[in-house]
Amino acid sequence: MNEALLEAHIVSNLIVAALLVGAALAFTAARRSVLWSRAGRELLRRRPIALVTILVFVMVALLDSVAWVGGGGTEDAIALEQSRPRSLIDRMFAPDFKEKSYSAPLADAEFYGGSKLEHPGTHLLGTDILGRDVLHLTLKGARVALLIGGLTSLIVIPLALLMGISAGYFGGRIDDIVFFVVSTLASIPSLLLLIALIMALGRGPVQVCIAMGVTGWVGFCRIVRGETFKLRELDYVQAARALGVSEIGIILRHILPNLMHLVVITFVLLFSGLVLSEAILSYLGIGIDGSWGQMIDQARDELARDPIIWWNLFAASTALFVLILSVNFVGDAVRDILDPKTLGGE
Amino acid sequence: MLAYIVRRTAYGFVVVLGVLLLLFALFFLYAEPVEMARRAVGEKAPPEVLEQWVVNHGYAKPTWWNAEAPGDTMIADHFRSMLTFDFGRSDSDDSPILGRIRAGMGPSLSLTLPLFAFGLVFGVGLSLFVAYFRETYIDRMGVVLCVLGMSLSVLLYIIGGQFLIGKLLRWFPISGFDPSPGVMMRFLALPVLVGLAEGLGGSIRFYRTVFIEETGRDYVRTARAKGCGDGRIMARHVLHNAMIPILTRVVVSIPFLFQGSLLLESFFGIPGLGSMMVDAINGNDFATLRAMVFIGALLFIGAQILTDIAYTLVDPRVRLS
Amino acid sequence: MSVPVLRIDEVLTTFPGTDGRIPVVDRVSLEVAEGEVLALVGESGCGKSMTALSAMRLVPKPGRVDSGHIELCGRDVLGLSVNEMRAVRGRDAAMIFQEPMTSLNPVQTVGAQVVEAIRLHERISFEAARSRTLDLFEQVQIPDSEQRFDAYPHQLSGGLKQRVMIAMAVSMRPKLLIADEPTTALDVTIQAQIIELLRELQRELGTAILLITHDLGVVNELADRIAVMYAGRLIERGDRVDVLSNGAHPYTRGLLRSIPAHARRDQALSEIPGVVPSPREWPAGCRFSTRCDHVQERCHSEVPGVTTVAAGHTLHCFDVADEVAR
Repeated sequence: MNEALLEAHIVSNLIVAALLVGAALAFTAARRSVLWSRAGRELLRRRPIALVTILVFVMVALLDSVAWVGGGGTEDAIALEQSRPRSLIDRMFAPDFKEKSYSAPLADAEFYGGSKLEHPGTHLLGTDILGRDVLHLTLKGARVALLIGGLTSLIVIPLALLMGISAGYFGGRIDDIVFFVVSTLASIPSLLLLIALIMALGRGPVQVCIAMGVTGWVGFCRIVRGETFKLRELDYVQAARALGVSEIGIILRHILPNLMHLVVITFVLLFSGLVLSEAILSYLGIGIDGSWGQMIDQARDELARDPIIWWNLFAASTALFVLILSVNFVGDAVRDILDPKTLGGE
Repeated sequence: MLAYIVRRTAYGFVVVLGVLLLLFALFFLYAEPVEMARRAVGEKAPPEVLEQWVVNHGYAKPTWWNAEAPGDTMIADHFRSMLTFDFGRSDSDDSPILGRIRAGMGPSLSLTLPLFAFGLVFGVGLSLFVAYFRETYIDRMGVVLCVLGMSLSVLLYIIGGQFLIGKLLRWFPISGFDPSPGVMMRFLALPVLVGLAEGLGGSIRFYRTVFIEETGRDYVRTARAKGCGDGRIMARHVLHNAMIPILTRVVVSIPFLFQGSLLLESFFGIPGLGSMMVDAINGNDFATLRAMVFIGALLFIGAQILTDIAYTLVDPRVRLS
Repeated sequence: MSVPVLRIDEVLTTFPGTDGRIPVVDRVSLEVAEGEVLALVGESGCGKSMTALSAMRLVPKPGRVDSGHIELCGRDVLGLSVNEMRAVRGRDAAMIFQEPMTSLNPVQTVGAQVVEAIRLHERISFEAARSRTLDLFEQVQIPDSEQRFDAYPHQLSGGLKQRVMIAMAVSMRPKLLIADEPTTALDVTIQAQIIELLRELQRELGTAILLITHDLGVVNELADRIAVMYAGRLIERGDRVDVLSNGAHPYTRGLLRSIPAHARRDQALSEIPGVVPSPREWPAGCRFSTRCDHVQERCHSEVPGVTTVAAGHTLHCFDVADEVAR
């Protein structure tokens, strides 16, 4: 019974619930602030299509994160499937929606050999080498992509903020140490460092995210440190200090809020970079299972066959491209909107 | 100025030591020597052979402190061997690492140097073009194309390039390498093209922003007021000032040359340092990986020092302060 | 009557806004006669800089001069080709700007920048241009001219940089020098020196100056005539003495009243209530109607026409027009 509490899918369900609650809280907080609600409306005005696209991906990812065991179907043949947790996305497809091997989109017969399919004409995007439905796999990839972007950012941003603000605000010894650590980490080309970290930590999804987090916080930390230097010298910060406000108070009430626009911009721009990095890691064999990068890696010599097998690569590439493109467009708009020059003055 | 160079190099050396410490932590605190031996020698090897392998590769010594023979520890060995470039032998096939590095440098450079040069020339040139036509259709389309280009994974560029140009159009061979001068170009053409295409999007966007920012500055307004034409402004005023942020970015992009060479070499069958790394990853060859990461860091630190020196040449405000 | 060095007629300069284009220079007309100093006065945001930039066709994109007529020494500026305009700039008309810190190219020596200004318009050798530059440096009172020639902008003080700018501007002996707030960014003592320099140069070279400023003290030192702008429109113009002593427009009077030197010890400083509206919020009718203490009903809907108060002294105000009629 106790073990069941720690099952991966239950943790995943809890995380989804926490995320939704967190998002709702952040939303209400933003509504109250004039600055953020105006920025949000401006973003909606400029990039409606990209935002809707991202929302679709997020929905798919969330649906795939809510999973439980049991339910659906009564035949003995699928009794094995009963014991594995299946997400809402999984349940959109029949439990045994597999073939023996490749089949073209909407085909009736196997690609090699031509024997009849178990589920003819229903695989919208065909099946892969193991006979798995490509559409199903592609949808599940959304969750992995958002996991990469989200979990890693959750590591990168707080870490960079902590180190950057400490260095920028307190200066002196602390700054020397942080600067040295940052220089050291930054001196190793990030892909090499990433590889080294994953070799050391192991190849599971959480380890990969941690590795990407450790590699990725350095850039943002530098920016935070620079900004904190500037903010510390501002008149109202000096005034607060003269009035006796505690250091923590100043940091929380004056420094941190003024860094939030950088946080938002960095988060969005970091996201696409992280997902693309994972694709490269998948090629090298050290990525996360089930990602689009892995699908692309597995499909890469399918184009060399004759006749070519294209649907695997096409599905994963398109999904990856559309998500990254949307995030990039939104990221550009966010950066323009939150540009300090247009923020402060009116 | 000399004092500055000396100081900068000294700090660089301190960072090198930091890197070595980090590498030690990564590679030695987590690695299981017996596992590595088993992978290298074979699953079924008897325990004595495995132990001998562990000793031969220096993994049997105490990690931090040796009471009997001070200085004869793994960490001391690590620092000593790395700093003297005595990289030892590969964990997977026992070949001397330094020798393989020397052999791999040629092919790697023959790929990355042209890639770097062309990337810079085309990047700066095209972005100057786009920035000159700012706010017109050319500019807007250019930016959209750049974002599109940046959103495609490099894997897709490689696969697409190989498929389109190698298979369909058959202009260049899909992969392979031949060091003889005449033939080498044919094998390098496709990887260089692919690498260029992948990097152009991001470069052009960045340089364009730099050029547009510079063009909006007060001194450009003064130049116009005294009768400078747009062309002269771009060439004689903006370009020089833009060099400063461009220089920074060029250095920052050097690590991506490593990344690019890793993928390009392995996809296109070029026997350089990149494919050596990929082999090391697949074979869990820690010794080689350690050496490669160290070299990568050294090169990067060196590049940063060079840039700092270059700043003093380019920006009189830095030089004369 | 010689041809005016600068003649602006009903110039309309606009910038794009959310619904259509917004005027920042709203049908402004003025003239600068040969050798005279006309001060264009107003608060920040009233469009005086834009007027000057329009005259030189230097309005930054995405702004543009939509309509009107601009003549420099009799030549129609708006009809010139790009190349012809380039020849005009720096040679027939020159401009100096407010921020000497950022107005010079930081990676070129100041000497090289002045040499460039000369060689853009005259085909002479670098050596000849260099010696001309050294002479100019002496003329604008830059000490150690030889050493300063090879200096970079960041090595010079604000006052010296502004002198370099002036040297650059007068290098080709232009008929018109436009000075956009030349002393605003400088220390008070340096301000006086620069103003003195401008006065001397104007006498020696016979250059006309269009002086843009919000500092009435500077106006008093240099100007022959004054034109007052508010919210994109020219609202009063006349002789220096006339305007400064008998300024009739409520805005001008408000400005004059608020000069600290005019204040009395026991009284609060006088000020004009309200703030200058941004171009998006310009009121209909007379733009000053929202802050005026002599406002009438019709000021909110009709634009006042020209009223002559004295010879060469005109303004646009219903209240004054009524008084004159009486």
